[in-house]
Amino acid sequence: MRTQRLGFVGLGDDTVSACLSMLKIIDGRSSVHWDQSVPGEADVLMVACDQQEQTHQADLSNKPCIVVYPTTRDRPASTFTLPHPFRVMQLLDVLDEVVRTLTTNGDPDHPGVTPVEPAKPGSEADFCASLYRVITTKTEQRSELYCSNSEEGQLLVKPASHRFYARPALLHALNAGAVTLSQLAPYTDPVPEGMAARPLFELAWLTGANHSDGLLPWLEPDSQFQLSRWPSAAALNKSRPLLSLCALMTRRALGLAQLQTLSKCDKQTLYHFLNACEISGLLVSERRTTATQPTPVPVESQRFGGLIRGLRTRLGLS
Amino acid sequence: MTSDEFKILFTGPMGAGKTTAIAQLSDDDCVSTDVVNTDLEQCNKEMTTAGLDYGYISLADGYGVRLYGTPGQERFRFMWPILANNAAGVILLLNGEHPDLNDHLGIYADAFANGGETPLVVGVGRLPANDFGRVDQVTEQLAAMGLFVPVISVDVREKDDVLLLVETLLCQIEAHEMELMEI
Repeated sequence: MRTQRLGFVGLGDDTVSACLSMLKIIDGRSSVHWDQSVPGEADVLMVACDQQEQTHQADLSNKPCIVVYPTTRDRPASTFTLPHPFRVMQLLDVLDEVVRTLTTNGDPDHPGVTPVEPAKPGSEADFCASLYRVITTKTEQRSELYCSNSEEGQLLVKPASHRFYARPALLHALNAGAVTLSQLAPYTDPVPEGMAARPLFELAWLTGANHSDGLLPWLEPDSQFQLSRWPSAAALNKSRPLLSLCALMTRRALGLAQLQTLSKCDKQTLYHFLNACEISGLLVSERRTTATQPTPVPVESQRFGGLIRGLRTRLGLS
Repeated sequence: MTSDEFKILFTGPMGAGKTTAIAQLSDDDCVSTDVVNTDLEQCNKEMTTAGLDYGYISLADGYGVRLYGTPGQERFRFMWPILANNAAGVILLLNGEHPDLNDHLGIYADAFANGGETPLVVGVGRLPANDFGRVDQVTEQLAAMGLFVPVISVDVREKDDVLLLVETLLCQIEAHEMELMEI
C-alpha cells in the first residue's frame, strides 16, 4: 500500500487531533496509507475554508486541497470539501475521492501525488462503506439512484425511499451470500423493468454478515444505541431477538451489554444487527454521558412475564 | 380483569380483518356481535361487528389471555375506551387498499396509541406482494405523529401472519414493561 502525506492549514488543534485519530481508524480501509506532514511537504492539504488565501501566499496552490467548512455555512465551490464536524466515513470518502480523481487524471497537474491502484472492486467492505456513504449523504447532495455491479447483474439503490432494486437471480445470490458487489456509483437511467423493490435494511442485513465479528470501525463499543425507526419487519425474519432489539431500541438508547442481556441475543447477531442498522441509516449512537446507567428489570421479573411466556408456549412461539 | 389474565385489543376500521385475526388465535369460536352491514360504501362485506369481538386463549394453571376486537364503524366509537381499558397492548389492523387508509391510520393511532405509551403494532392487509410503498407511507405517517412502532404487511387469513403480529406486540410489551419497572 502506498503512502500519501496530508498537511493541515489553518485548522484548530482539536480538528487536527480528531482527524489524525480518524486516519488511524481508516488505515487499511482507505486505498492508500495516510501520514501527517508539514504543508510544504504534503501531497494533499486539508485547509480551513477561511484560510484558502494562505495556501496561495505560501505557494501551496499546486497541491490538491480539501476545504473544511463549518456545517453552518454553505459548501464552498471547491472540488474537495468536508463539512465540520465530520465523521470517519466522510473523511474516508473524501480522501478516496481525492486519490481516485488524481489517479484518473493521470496526475499531470499534481506531481506530488503518486498514482495508486484503484480500490479493489467488489470487496464487501467497499460496498458496505459506499452504501453507508450514500445513505448518510445529505439529500440535496446525493443522486436519486446508485448502482452496484456484480456477476449476477446490477443492483440499484434509491436512498430517498429506503429501497433497493435487483432481479430475482441477484436476490437469490444475495440471500445465499454468494455474490460480491462493487462500490455504489451514481446512476442516471430509470430502474430497469423486471427488478423487484426491496427494503434497504434487508440489503444492509444481507451484505453486513461479513462484519459481524465486531462493530463497524467507526462505531464506539461504549456508546448507547437507539433506532430512529423500525427496520422492515420482513427483513427481521420473525426472529424474536431481533424483534426484541427493535422494541427496546426504538424506546430508548441502551449499551451493548444491556442490549445483549435484555434481548437474549448472541453477540455476533447483535453486532450484525447494529452494523446493518448503521449501514441503512437507522442507528443513532451517542457516547455515555453519565457514569451509571439504569438497570432494566429482566423479563422474568415483569408483571406480565409469566403470562407472556405462557402465551408464547401456547401459540408455539417459544 | 384479574391478575392472572391479560388483554390484547384488536382495532381498526371495518373490513381490516379484526374478527378473522381473533378467530385465528382463540381457543373456541370467538364471540362476535355481527350484524348485516348497511354501510356497503365504507366496506363491501355482508356482515360487520356492531358491539365487540371476543376470544380467549387459555394458558396453563388457569391463566388466560383475553382478545377483544373493537367495532369497525366509527359510530360505535363510544366502545373504544371501554375496550381499551387495561389492555396490555393493541394490534391496529388497516386495509391497505382502502382509499382512506391515511385517515383511518390517523384516527385509530390517535385513539389507541396513547401518545406512544401503549404498546402498539400496526398490520396492513390486502397489499400486493412486495408493495413496500404503503408500509413505508404508514410508517412515515406514524413517525410524524411521534410514534415509532412496527408496521407489518399481513394477510390475517394466514395464521403465521397473525402470530407475527402477536410476537411483535409481545416484544413491544416486554420493552414497555422493562421501562416501567426500571430500578
